[in-house]
Amino acid sequence: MGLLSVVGGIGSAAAGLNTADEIQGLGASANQQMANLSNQVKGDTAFTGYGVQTGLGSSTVDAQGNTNLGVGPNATMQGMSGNMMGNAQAGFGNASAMAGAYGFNPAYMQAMNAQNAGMQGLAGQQSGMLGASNQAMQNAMGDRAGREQQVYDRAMAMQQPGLDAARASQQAREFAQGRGGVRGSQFGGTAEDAAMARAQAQAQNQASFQAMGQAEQEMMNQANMSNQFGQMGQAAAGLQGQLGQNMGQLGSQQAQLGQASAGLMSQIANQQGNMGMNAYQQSFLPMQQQMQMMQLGGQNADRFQSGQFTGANLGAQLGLGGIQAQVNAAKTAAELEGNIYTGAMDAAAGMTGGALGNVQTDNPTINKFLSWL
Amino acid sequence: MAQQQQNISISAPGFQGLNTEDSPLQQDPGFALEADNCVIDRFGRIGAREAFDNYTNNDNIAYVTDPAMVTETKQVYQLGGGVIGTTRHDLGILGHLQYNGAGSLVREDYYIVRFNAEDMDSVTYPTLAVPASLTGADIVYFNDAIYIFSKGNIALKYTGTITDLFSGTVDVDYIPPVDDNGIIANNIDGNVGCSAYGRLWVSGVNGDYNTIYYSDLLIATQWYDGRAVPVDTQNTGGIIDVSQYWPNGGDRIVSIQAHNNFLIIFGRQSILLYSSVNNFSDPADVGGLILQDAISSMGAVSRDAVASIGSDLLFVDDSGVRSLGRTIQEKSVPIGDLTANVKRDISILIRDEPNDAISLFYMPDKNLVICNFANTEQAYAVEMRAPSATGGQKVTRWTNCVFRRGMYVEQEDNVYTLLAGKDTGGALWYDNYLEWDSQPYFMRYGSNAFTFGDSVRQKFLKKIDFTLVSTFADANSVVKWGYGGLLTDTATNVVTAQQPALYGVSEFNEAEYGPGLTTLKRYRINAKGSGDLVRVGLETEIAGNSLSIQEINVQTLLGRIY
Repeated sequence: MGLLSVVGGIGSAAAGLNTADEIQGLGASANQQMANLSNQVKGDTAFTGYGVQTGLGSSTVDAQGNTNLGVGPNATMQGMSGNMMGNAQAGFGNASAMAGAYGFNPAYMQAMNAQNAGMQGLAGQQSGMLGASNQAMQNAMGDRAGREQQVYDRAMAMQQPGLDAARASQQAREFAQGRGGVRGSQFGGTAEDAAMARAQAQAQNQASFQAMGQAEQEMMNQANMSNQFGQMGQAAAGLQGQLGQNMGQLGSQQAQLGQASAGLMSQIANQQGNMGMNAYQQSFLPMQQQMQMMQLGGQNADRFQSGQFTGANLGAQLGLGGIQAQVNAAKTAAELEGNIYTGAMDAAAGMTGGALGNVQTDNPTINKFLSWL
Repeated sequence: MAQQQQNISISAPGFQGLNTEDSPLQQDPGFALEADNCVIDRFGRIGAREAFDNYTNNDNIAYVTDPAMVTETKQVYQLGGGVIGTTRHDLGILGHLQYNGAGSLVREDYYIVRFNAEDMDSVTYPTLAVPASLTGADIVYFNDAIYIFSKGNIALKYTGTITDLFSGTVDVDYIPPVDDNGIIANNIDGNVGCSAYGRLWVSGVNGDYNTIYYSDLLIATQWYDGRAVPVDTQNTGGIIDVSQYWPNGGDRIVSIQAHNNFLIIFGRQSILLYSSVNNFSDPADVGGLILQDAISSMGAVSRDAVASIGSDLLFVDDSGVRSLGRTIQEKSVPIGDLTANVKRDISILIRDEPNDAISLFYMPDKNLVICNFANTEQAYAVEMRAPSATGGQKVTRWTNCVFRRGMYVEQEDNVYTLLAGKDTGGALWYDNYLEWDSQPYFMRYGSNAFTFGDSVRQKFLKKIDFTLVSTFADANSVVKWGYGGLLTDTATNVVTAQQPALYGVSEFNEAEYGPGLTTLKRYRINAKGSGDLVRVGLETEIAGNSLSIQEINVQTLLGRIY
């Protein structure tokens, strides 16, 4: 390529740059127009609020959507509702009072106190009986051998004076007979000694067997006592249970009475509450109706708004189309311009060839570009 | 003017025996103040005792002589015996003591000997702990054997040979006294024994003289078995502790005797009498031993100072020879006192004599009980046929009693009294009239002092006639008389032997009779002197001759009253 080609190129570029600058300006203008259009559409489509006016009141919706219904609840109805609710509250209070009033029924309390006392007494008895039963059972299951030994010891202790006396008598008799110092192989001592020893052994054996029987009998007695005490304890427990049941029944009856009374009262209160609630609900009926009216007004406002939107849309579309057409025209012009410049430059480049460094144009971009050359 | 002599006749002088207790003036002339070696003969006269003759003539013991021996004694200390099978065995304890020139004992040997006819033979015995205790041994005949109990030694059993009573295995061959705490006594080592009621009764076991151990019935090897399960369930042996029953509070067993269904336990100062309803079949059983009586202040001086005479039991107390039967019956001391007529004399002797030297034995064939005092070699002979006029028995005194113990033996048709000779070469026996050493002994009679019924007049003895019974041999005699209670004058005389007529003694199948002389002979002595109280006496040597005094006649003149 020759220098002229370059210069032509540069010239073409400079022309292109210049065109671009123009297109940018056009774009900015279009943008500004769009902004303006937007502002306009914004203003045109802005909600302006609406109002509904009925016999109940005047409701307004301002541009920001703030709604003023302009109709409040029916104060009369609300007053009635309040009264009813108050009555209902009072009814519940009465119901509670009724329910509570049965809880403090003197007869009930006396019965309950009496039964509580009975319960406590029976509990004490039960505890005592069961304790005795347990003790008797422990006794019945205690150390039988030890008890036998105790009974044996007592029996022998009771016999001891007699044995001592018999032994003393025996010894005295033996001494009187001069036989105290006699010991024979057949008896160890004398025959009387052996007889005494046999008698004592028999007494000991008898006492031993008696002790065994006595201990066994005592333990059986203890077992029977345990059983009896247990039964008594169980009976006390049964009575306690019965009393508890009675008390439960009383409580239940009392509760039922309270509940019945409270139920009645609460029904009344409920009805009054319902009435209050109805009144209260009805107190908002004007507002509801007003709101229905506002719906209607809103629908109308919507219609209004739709017209605004349609108009604005149309206007915007039109404006946007104008701008688009402008842009497109500018673009086309620019493209055309560019092509011109390109051709021109190519031509110039061919002619001058490299002496374009000092060329100045009105287009700074091109100038700049030329400077580089 | 000559005065007529008065004759005073003393018939059977001294036949009442000695009496040194009552006033001489009040006494029967039959009492004597001196009666040595006298007995009351079968006719009630006072006569000479028989001699202590040799029983042992052959000493077959092999003595061991100590080289230092200068002097020796061979004494028989104890006697005992019995019939084993059909043979009589007489045993004795012989001590051979040897002394040197200084009189110190250099050797002592003790033999258990058997006296068989004229022989004395030694019987071998097991080694003993205290051989010298054999001198106090009790030789007891029981159930066809002879048992020798000595203090501190094992009991020995003699059946021809001697064995240990407890030989073999305990509880198999023998049962010592035992209970559940163990053996009470390993040996029956007491020295006070008795065989009675089918048992052996022994005291002094383990040195305990308050306890009697008695054997099983007829079994000498089984004693008290107090274990819960006795080895022999039929054993009835036992023990008697009498310590609590002495009436004086305490005493010790000296002798055990059986008499009249009593078991009599002699203490030194008291006596316990046990009876039995069941005849001692088991003393410990009901009806066994029962203390029947306890006699205080009276007891036996030694184990061998007790003798049974069959109908009674005699013993030597401190006061003399006592009769247990009478004592029990009368509960009084004097009546039971057999030697009341010589009470003080015999009491002094008993007091001065060692207790173990005093012994008592009975000769039924002679009706004599001899209370022997071996240490002083004298004895009192108590005539048992009839008491004297005072109630006490007739008593004479014997001298030359060279024996320690006497034992009367009855064997079939042979009876004799064996004496334990003191250094006489063995045993003696009471027989004949010639002593073991052939030396004469003297029969002495001394009357009481007589007043002849006139105590205030002087008596002048003129003649004394002795009517004597003498046999076998002549003997020298001395007639004594005196005044004032003394026998101051004497006159010798020869008592000639009078051979009695013998009837039924034949020779060559021809009847032969003696000369038929009376054995009585009167001897007259001329007397002299004068005095108020008159005593007469006679002393005759006995050496193979017998002598009895039949009568004494005194011719006297009575003088003035002084």
